[in-house]
Formats: sequence, structure tokens, C-alpha cells
Amino acid sequence: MVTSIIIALLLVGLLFLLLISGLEIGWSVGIVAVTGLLWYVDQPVGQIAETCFGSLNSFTLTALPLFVFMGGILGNTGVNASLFNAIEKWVGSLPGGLACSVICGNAIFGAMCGSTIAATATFGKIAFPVMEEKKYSPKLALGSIASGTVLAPLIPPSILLILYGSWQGLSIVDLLAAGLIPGITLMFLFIITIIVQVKLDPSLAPETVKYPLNVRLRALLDVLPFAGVIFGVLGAIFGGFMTPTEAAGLGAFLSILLTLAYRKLTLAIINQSLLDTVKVTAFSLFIMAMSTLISHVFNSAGIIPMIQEFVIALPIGKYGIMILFFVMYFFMGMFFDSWSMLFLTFPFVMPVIIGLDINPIWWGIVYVMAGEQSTITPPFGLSLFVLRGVVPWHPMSTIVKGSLPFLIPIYINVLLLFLFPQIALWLPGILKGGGG
Amino acid sequence: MGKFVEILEKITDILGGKLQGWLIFLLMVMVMVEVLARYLLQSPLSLADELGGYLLVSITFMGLGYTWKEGGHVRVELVTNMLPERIREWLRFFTLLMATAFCGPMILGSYNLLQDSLLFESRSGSWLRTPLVYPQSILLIGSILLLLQFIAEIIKTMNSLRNFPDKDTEPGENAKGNK
Repeated sequence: MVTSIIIALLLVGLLFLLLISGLEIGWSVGIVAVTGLLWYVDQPVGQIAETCFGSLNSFTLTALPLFVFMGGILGNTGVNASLFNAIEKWVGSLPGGLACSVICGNAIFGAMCGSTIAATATFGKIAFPVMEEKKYSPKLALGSIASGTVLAPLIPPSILLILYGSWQGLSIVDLLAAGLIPGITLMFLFIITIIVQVKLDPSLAPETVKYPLNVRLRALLDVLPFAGVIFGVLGAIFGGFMTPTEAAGLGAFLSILLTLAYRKLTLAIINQSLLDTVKVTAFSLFIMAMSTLISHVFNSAGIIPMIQEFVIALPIGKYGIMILFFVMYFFMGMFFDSWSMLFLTFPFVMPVIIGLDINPIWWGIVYVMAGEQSTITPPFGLSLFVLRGVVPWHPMSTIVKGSLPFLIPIYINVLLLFLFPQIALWLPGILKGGGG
Repeated sequence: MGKFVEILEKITDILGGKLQGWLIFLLMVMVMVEVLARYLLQSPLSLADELGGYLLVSITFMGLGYTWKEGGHVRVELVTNMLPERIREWLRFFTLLMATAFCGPMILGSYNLLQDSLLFESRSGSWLRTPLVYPQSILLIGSILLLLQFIAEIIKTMNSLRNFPDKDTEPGENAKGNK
């Protein structure tokens, strides 16, 4: 008992040391896992390959490269420019209209391909110059572009939820369905945040114009092809016609057709998107494989059951523990992105969640927000960095200051989920009941 | 030495980058054909299920070296960025050596797994009854490919460490010249 506590502390200490020394996360986890495997639980080295093969040989997970590829095609060709223009005709009349349009654009883009890191760059390129020209405060403009990224992992199809679900063996369809309503509520909360900011300080955004109905209707026509892709992908998944992986393949195929129709697709863009996808797949799934190995090692050593018992016995109750996790992710999020945190922590967090009898589907949705706050929390926030690369003439502090107010709607949304778990669980229930 | 690094990186680019990229494209086509076969021909091929998994193993493992070369593996740079440049470069070299050493258990482990699969003639559970040796050999090949890229990285880093003060040459000239 005492020795295993010491061993656990040593291994976790080693992991921490490797991580801060700047060694790639996958290797940090791998070295700790193999150290434990060979030295403590004394299992053959072939276990490394067996775990890697076992966790990667998954058809469900192949949705990941397909959705990433789709996002690359749509993002790199910049077809979302026309999407943004069309949305602006409808949402643009709200206070801070262009900022609201960015939020809606992110939501719709998220409904197509599940991740908007590719989109952050394009929205930065498309929307920001327009906003600057119309005298929007850079703080509000950049803040809304950076924060909009948080929507995509909630709104189906979500790559983060696919990673979580296929890794933990949960129903992907249930998870994706569970994210829809919280994603929409978060979108509205974001828009309200913008409106409130503009109302409090009208200098943040100029007066907006209302477009006549015929312009708006024409804009609707522009959105139609995108809507077609969305209904194709989501309809296929929720209608039970295709598995999420097949729908991802369909989505990638449709986005190729769509960008061809817009005459934006080139072989260079396909090549670039494919290479980007290799990078995202290799980096994330290698960490996942190594985390599976560390989970195997710590389970064999009896360390995970020990942590599980310890945390569950904490005298703060179920909700206290979840809030504790949330706070942990807030601080970890200063250093890690949401995918890495998922892989680093879930070998330990998941047994506790299961032990507390918390619905893992609901917890997945809560995690998306706990993890995604990291994209806009300094010093390391993924979308902060991506955006900084697009607008290098603005200091990081402007982007950060603009983004921080958007943490409030994220927390409100989490609170709503705690108070009304049905926000997440209602839709999966309906699908199950109706679809059979 | 520069030529050697060039050859290694070329191998990484082609086998780890381009080939894996087009495997993703193949994956997309395969999945679409599977869907079409199911709905139009009313006869599922049940190929994509199994082959898709193998493709994913390949994209991940064969792509490790390429992703490393392109700086695609996520790491925490916040702490190391606060160190003086000279120390940071040495620390980076040290972590690179650790990552390279990790190829040892990866290669040995994949080799052992292959031996086991050959010995027990393990096959997949599907109707294809694929001998698992074939897809599992990707792990070994990918690990070796990664090791080759690490060798290139070590040579590059050693050169840049040696040329650090840039006494005789223009700043940055050497580091770029070796790429």
C-alpha cells in the first residue's frame, strides 16, 4: 500500500518533470508508462505495441481524420467567407452585429466539421479586417473570434466528443446528440455577452444597419449549400442511416464537391489539408495510445483504484468533486489544450466519474466546456495563439482581454447543465426512443 | 552530413507525410463505397470497418516522424521559454535524446508483438481473417521511420549547438543551410 503510493507519486512526479522540460506530451506519457510497465508491474515490452495496436485499430476513431480533413478543405479554401457574409445579413443588425455574426458563423462551421481551429484563422482573416474597417474595438472583435472556437466541440459533429467516446467506449451518437442543445444555448449566451458589452460601452461597436428583406432572402440562398452539407452529415448520423465515421466520409466528400462548385479547390489545398490531417491524427492518437498504456499500467499496479477510492471518499460530495475537477482543468488549461488534457487526466478522472455514478454522456458535455475554456485562457490558449498569428500587429493582451469576458457565458452554461441535466440528456433519449 | 539529413527527411516526407495523406483520401473513398454498396447493391462489403482501423494505425504510426519534423507534436513550451536561449537549446537536445531512446522499447515491443502473432498465427475476427502480422508490422515500420527522423533531428540540433555563437558565419545561415 505505502510502496504503491510512493511509486505512484514518483511516476506522476516524473511525468510532471518531463512535461515541463518541454518533451512532447506523447513521449512524456509514454516514457512514464513504459517505466512503470517494465520496472513496477513487470510486464513484457510487447504490451506497448499491443496497447497501441488495440487502441488505434478502431473504425469509430477513423471519423477523426475524416472530419479534420473536411475542416481543412473548408477552412483552407475560405468558402466560409460567403457563409459569414450571408449570416451577417441576418444577425448583423444586433448590437455588435459583426461580432454576433462571427459567433453564429463558428456555430454553423462547427456543425459542418467539428473543429474550428482551422476556422479561427479564416475568421480572423475574413471577419477581422471588415470589423476593423467599421471601427469595431479590436478587443471585442478579436475576443469574439477567439471565443467562437469553443462552440464547435459542443455542436455536433464534435471531434473532441468522438475522441472521448471512442476512447472510453461510449455511444458516439448519444454524445453528439447530447452536445447539440448546450451548444445552441452557449451560442445564445455568447451573443448576449456581446450585446451586454456593447450596451454597457457603446464605443465598442458602431451603429448597425438593418438589411432589407430581399437582401436577407438572397443571403439565405447563399447559405443553402452549407445547410445541405450540415443536414447531410447530421441527418445521416441522427437518422441512423450512417455511422459517425461514414457520415464523416460523406462530409469530407460533400465539402470537396462544395468547394469545387465554388471553384476554390486546388490540388495544393487538398495536399495541404491531407498533410495537416496526418499531423493532427498522429499527434493526438499517439498521446491517446500512450495514455491507454499508462492507464493499463496504473490499473495493473492498483494505483487507479486507490486514487478512485481516495477521491470518492473526499468529504465534499459528488458536486464538490466535479467542481474540483473543473477548477483543476482551469489551471491545467493554462498549459494544455483540451485534447491533451482529456488524454492526460481521464485515466484517473473517468474511474471517479463512474464510481460516483455520474452519467458519462453528461460528463462528456461538461468536460467539453471545462476543457475548452483552455483555448481562451492565457498564457497558453490555442485559439489565442492561432489568432495572434493572423493579426500580429495587435498585442496578445488585446486578444486576451477581449476573450476573458466570454468565460462568463461558458460558466453559466455549465451551471445550467448542472441544474438541468436534461439540456444534454433529453435529445439522446428522444433519439433512442424514436429511432429504436 | 547535410546530404544525409536531406535523404532522411525525404524518406520521412514521402512515406510519413504524402503517402499517409493519400491514405486518408483512400479512407474517405473506401467509406463512401461501403455506404453505396450497402444502400444501392443491398450488400454490405464490410471491408471498410476492418481496413479503416488498419489505415488509422498507419496514419498515426507512420506519421509520427513526419509530424515531429513539422513540429506538430504538442508540448509545453511555457516553462522552457523562460530559460536563456543557450540552456533551452541544450535542454531541447536532451529531450530529443530521450524521445529517441523511447524508440528502443517501441521497436522492441513491436518486434515482440510480431513474433507472438506469427507464433500463434493470430488472425482478425472478421470474415477477412487477416493475419494480424500484416497490419501489426506497421507499428514496427513506423517506429523505425521515426528513429530515422530522430537521427536527422539529432544531427541538425548538434550542428546548431556547435554553431551557436555564430562566430564566422552570418547569423542563422548555418541552421538554415542544414535543413
